Amino acid sequence: MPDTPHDIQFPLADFDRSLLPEDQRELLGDSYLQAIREHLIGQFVGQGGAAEVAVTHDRVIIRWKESDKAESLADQGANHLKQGNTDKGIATLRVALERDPADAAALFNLGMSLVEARHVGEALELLERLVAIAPDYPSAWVALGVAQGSFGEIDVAIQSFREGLVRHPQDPFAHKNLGAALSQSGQLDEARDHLKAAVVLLPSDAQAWLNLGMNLEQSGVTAEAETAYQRVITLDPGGHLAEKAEAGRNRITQIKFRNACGALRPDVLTYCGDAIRVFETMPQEEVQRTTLEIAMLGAKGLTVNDPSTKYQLRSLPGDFTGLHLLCIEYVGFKIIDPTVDIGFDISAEYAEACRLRGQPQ
Amino acid sequence: MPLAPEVQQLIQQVEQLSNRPVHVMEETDLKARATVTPARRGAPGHIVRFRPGSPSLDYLVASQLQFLIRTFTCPAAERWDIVSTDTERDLGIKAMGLGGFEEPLARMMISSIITQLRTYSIGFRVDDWIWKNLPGLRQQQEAEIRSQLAENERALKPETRQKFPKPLVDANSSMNALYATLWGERLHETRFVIPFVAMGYRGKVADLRAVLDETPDDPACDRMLIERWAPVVGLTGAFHFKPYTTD
Repeated sequence: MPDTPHDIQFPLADFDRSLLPEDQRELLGDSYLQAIREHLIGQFVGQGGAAEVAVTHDRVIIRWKESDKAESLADQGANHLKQGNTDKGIATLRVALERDPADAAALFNLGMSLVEARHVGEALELLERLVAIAPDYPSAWVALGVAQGSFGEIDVAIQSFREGLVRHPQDPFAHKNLGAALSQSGQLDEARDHLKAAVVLLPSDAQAWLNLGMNLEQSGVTAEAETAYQRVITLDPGGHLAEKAEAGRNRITQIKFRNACGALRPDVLTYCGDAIRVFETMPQEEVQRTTLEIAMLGAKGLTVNDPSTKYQLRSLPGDFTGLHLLCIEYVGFKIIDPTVDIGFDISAEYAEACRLRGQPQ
Repeated sequence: MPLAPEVQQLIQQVEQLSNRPVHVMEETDLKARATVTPARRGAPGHIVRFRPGSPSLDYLVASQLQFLIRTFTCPAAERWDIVSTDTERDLGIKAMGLGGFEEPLARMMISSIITQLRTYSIGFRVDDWIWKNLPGLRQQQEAEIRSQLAENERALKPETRQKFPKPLVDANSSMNALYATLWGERLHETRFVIPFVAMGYRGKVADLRAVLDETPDDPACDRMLIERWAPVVGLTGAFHFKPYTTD
């Protein structure tokens, strides 16, 4: 009988509200109809076919179509999660576990999704059950470690990641997470080995590269750290990981910058003094236009340590080095919005330049 | 109309147990898929009727024969029929919310729900026996069961349910819900029960099932099974058992 659809209808008034999650039982109107629909779709998942459910003002209509190509409930739940349908995925996986409490795939995927949804206590229970039932299930120990880490139990998490590596030495996620956890607990050298292994196994994983970059930066290996951060920016352009990598690169640049000339840099002092002088005679709108033009340029990256005058502005004549533009931007923001942090600290030079010009900061 | 060998064996068994012949015949206007009329009042034999054209003839006949076998397996003194006095019938009509209906219609409906009480409760025993003992008929049995499940689903339609009073609808749906549950499990298609659960029949299913599970699968206990199901579906006092006679 595959592929033969048939309809089942029953009165909406006969639906048993107590079947809905507690927070949905008092719903009214369209929200109530939607809750019923989602509940029933969840019930039909894993039944070897597909159910379309419509709920009208007076009836529930279920159109059922059998199929030979049924996938397991756990797979369906995992697919919902992959497609970003978190609630549906979690509901499906819960049904899978009701039917088979030892379904390893359901335990793994539900556990992981609950960690992401910050229901860590329940996630821990599920993942502990998983490693008890199926200790060799791929990445089971990693998932447990992630949950333990989210619970603040870093040392326990490290043990789980290590257990995962014993069972699956080439598991990239075990290396990645163990490296991150060891870094967090201050064991930078051992962490670095795992993080390097992780980026070899996961060359396109921006988070893995960021973890490595941060470890290298903390360890003072700045050249390699910059390379790792650059990789993150390439892999995740405009993303939040790239922002963190950019911040890391700025920190390294500042360290280099300070290391180059000691306490106050005369070139920066000069650039700041020039900018103060130029902006003194400019209307506020022009200061804003120039500052924002540099900020826009800076979003693409200014090379602060390169002495060549390779930048031009539409709002100011001349050729500029990256450092010069950064100083103009810093001074500009001090005028138009002092709360903005451009991520590069030249406050000492700026203060001295103000003092020399007889200006308050 | 050749019947499968295992069905012919059942016919022989009925004939031996009851000392009456069995006649199997078509009946075009039959409302049910098949019925059985035990031999009495001078009738020469038991009559099994079926609707013509059924591809599941062997199963349909076998199931009717099994009802007879369960009756005649019991000692003569322990055989029974279900009947209702006028008082019991009125009580049933009231309990099922049929008071506002024309009396003939109300009587027909109360009689129908009591028949369902009997055929579903003992029918589970009959079907279970066939499933386990007559594997050659399993395909036919499954087809008929699926057909019955579909028919029960159709009865859930708002247009159908609103025609009848809620107590009657609930009695019918509770038994149908158990049918969907047990066959859903046996056929590994638990989806059959989902609409019934959605309508709140899970509790009734549990109650009916508990009685079914607790009552021994012995024909001598069939009467007890019906007696214990009756209060669950609201039919307490609507009928009584009288000794089976051939008169």
